[in-house]
Amino acid sequence: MADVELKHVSKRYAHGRQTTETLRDVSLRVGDGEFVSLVGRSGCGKTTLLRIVGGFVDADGGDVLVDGSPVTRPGSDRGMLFQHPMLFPWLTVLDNTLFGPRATGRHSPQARARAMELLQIVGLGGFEFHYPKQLSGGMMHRAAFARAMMAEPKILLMDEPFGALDALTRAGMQQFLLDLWNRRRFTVILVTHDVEEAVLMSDRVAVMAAGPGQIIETIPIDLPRPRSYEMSETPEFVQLKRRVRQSVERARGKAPVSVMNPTAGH
Amino acid sequence: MGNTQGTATAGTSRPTEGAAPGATMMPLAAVPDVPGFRQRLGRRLAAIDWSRIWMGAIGIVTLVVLWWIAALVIGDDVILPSPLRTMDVMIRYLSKPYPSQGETLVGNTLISLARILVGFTWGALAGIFLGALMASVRPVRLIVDPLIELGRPLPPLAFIPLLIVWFGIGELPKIILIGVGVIPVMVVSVVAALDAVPEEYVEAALSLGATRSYALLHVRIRAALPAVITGLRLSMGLSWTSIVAVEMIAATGGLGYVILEASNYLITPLIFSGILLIAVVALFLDGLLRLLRRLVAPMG
Repeated sequence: MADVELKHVSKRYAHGRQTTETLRDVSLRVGDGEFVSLVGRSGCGKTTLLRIVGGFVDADGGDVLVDGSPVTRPGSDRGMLFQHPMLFPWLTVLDNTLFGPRATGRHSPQARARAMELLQIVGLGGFEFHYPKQLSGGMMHRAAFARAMMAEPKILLMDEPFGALDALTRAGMQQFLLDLWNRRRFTVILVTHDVEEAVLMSDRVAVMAAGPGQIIETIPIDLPRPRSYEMSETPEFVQLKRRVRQSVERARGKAPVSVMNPTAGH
Repeated sequence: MGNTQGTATAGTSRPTEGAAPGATMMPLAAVPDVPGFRQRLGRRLAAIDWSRIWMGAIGIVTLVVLWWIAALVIGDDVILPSPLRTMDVMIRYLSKPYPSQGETLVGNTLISLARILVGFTWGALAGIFLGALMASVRPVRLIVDPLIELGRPLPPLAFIPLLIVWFGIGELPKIILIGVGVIPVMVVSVVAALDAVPEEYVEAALSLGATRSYALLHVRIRAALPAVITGLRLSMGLSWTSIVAVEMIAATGGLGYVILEASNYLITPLIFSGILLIAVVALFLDGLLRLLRRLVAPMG
């Protein structure tokens, strides 16, 4: 039971005397066990929105509710995955996974056994005592997953988690996340600029426009589950992809900053 | 022997995505345990780059040979004593006081070492404290930064006369001088080290349930440690510069004093002995710091 509710959220940033309106009146409901992607070009505030849910940034206006209670700070109920795995380089893979239990005083032989099991699940059995630097990019991401899952988050917040990976590894990680989500059904908010990724993974795709950041459309992705990469060639998939892409294009048209493209705008 | 399995994945080799995880080789029930001491030793030995050691040795041997040839050609112990003559004199004065009412080379080495350790320690602690304060409290940074930038280009040696006027020629001015040299170096490296820790490390820790203070100590500070130790190594080198200089100007003991005395009486082999001892002790201290860095940053 973990849903996220954003009601009329706004956020401004001040640079000296200027202020930028990063988010204006953003409302979004993510149901329990739902997978929602935020898509939009860079600068549309999608990362800020995710960080507000994460509790790293305070909204200036509106309500941010997780399970009905307002978000005030980061917490282990909301797991966070970044573009880079952010494994602690001074800890082995196992000790990285056990960081949460140690930090919260819940380290025990049982926790250790569970960490071992999680590492097996993410395909890192045998690499428990390796350091992050000894792993490939995809393996680091899977270790970061294991570390996040160890805290048993009800919600997983992901900020372009596969953006820095090569295409093949990224496809592998997407499949891995799909399989994991199928088994656990946690609530996910995924920030991405990859339209195909958003369609493949999500139940709904929220398209954001910039200047100020707002959600212009939420597109349901009613493709059957479980999904896999092969689906991306079916006509339904292609159609949904086109729809999302057109929406992103329209969002682009709303942005006032398009110096390179004077025809944009209405 | 028999550690081939242990070493196979050690070192810097990065397994590729397609590489079979170890899980396929071992049954699920067999939970791998922490590598034993022998296994770790085996990995360490296998990781040693022998060619580096060989090449380094070649460099040192070449230098000694050139020194020896030059000494033979010059044929004057006052200008350039041979390595053998230097070792002979060094060994003699290790236990024999020089000047006769003074200390042995061992004694003088210990005097310099004690000054270094005390001065380096207080300077490093003060620098780390100030640097940490600057990195976390913005007004402190804005106020102190110009002062550090102003003081940093000044060679510590410029303060020697002032310190003698203020504190005489006892131990205090020497220890202060070392610290004064160390502080700006440590401040700069601590601030840079803490600044370089990605904010996302701390955020990852917080979203894993850590409190702010736990994340500060176990993530932000922990992540900065290797770079701070690099700063300590630079500071240690600077400490030697300071102490030898001040011992040459205002001291009655220590390796700098011995070197200057030996030069006054043209005992060149003893000058060389002093320099060699500084090199050996400095190398030893730097080795300790390098070891420390290896411990806090296991993979470099």
